[in-house]
Amino acid sequence: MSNDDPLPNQINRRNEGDLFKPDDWWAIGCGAILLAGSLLLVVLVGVDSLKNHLAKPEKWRDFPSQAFYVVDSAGTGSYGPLTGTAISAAVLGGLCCLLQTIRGAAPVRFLVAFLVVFLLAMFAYLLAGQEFIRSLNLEYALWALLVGLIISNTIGTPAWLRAAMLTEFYIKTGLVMLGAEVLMNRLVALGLPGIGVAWVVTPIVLIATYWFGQRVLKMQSPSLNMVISADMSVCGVSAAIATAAACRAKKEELSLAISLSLTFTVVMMAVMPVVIRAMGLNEYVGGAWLGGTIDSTGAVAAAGATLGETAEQVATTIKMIQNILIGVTAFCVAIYWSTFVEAGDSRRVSIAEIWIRFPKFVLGFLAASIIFTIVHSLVPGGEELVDSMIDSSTKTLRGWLFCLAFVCIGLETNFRELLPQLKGGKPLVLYVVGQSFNLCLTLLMAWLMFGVLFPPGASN
Amino acid sequence: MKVVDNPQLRFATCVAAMASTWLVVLPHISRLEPIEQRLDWLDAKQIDASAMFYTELEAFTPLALPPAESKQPARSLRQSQRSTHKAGGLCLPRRMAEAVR
Repeated sequence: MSNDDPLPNQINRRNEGDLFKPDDWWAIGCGAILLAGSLLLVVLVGVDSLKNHLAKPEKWRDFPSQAFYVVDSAGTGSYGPLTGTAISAAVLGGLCCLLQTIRGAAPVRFLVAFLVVFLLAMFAYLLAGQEFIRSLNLEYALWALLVGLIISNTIGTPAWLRAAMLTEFYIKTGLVMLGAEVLMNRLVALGLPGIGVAWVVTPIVLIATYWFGQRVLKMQSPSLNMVISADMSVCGVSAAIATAAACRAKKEELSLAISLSLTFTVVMMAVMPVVIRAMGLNEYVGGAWLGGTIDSTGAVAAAGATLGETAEQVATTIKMIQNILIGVTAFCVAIYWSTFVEAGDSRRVSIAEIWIRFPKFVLGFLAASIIFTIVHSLVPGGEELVDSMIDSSTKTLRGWLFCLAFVCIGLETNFRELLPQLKGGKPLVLYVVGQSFNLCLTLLMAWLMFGVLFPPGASN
Repeated sequence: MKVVDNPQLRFATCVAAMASTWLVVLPHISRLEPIEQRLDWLDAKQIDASAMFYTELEAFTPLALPPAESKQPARSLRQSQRSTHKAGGLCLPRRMAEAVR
């Protein structure tokens, strides 16, 4: 995500000799080390070995101190989240410091700056952990951005802090780690109805919204158009991050897309269950409609649960399938961008040129997804191993990396840079039109799949 | 006007606003009865409404394809709310399983 807005011919020049674009390969390497290390520890020490050793601040209701002290079901209290946070800082700080030192950075300067950025990320997690805030689906990404923005737009970001402001590196490493959570075998979890709602509707809405933004709204920035289309049609913040990295969107564009998505998610999470009840839809159709339309996974679960357990399960499973479509989406967007958008007026683009422009971290993301899908589905005991690895370590480290990235985006952003993105209200119109189309098409497909073609309980 | 010109003062104002929101306002809202009930309900169901990815949902297991003989009639929500929600009935029907096969 570059800070400037390069013209197509500048992009071509910028990407010459980009074969070893540093951040991408370093991110793949760092992600691979973290994934391999986690898997190895789980294999060698046992499936519960890493549990509670890596953590983030927990939820709290009355006092922020509750975020660092948990009481288990047996009534035993511990400072697990605090020590887990410290260990996470040590693991990520140590590894990033090593890689930055190899790349020629001063290790002490990096460590000092990293510690401060990490404390800001911890503060963002603390803000996001307040239970009322959590219940509204206001994710840590939003608060991490806010924390960074407050500093950069008041006292200014100190120059020494820039040593650890590795936005692209954190995002790409986080995405490579996210690849291990994209288990392709789960795409068929719901069979044909799931494929109908998630596989058919999602790409149609994504492409139609992008087309609408380019041809009807004539949005100047195709990357902003794509990021909003992806976060609205696929699965919110995680899809926005992956797509923004795949199409090299600007950091302000990612911030705007995420803010739009979270705002509408709060509204849809509250309104949709009421509408579904009023329409008298059964839990399968209602759940599928929720899962296919509400952007965020947590909000889907919360909205589905208000309708009933079946609706919750159908909704979260549909959303899980959409989560897994992130891999396919990021790959297709990266190919499309390398082949058509960045090619500008060039009629014919060679495979070498596409390869040069292609964001290489996507390969790490896909490789992690394929490897862990194979381990999960084909290796004996693989399901337990992979689930344990994700649950006890990699999802926590991936969360920290994304949180660090959003703090850095905030620290690098001036409020004035955000305003031109809202020009003419086009992003808002794009989101509303796209989401309206998504709502209609998903309802039609959910009714067709769960109400007409495969009605639950109507066997034979 | 002076607040706008003074970066330190602007920073202190933001910090004070955040501190009062997160230390006073939000805890107060969380103790209001309907809100507290909703938070307890989410807690009991182990739902993290702010989860970004499906792996962040504590109690989630993907809906599995059903055994072929499973029969769970689809009821409207109005009907199902009159009865208590049981964990059963999560399986999909035989036609669905056969279609996938």
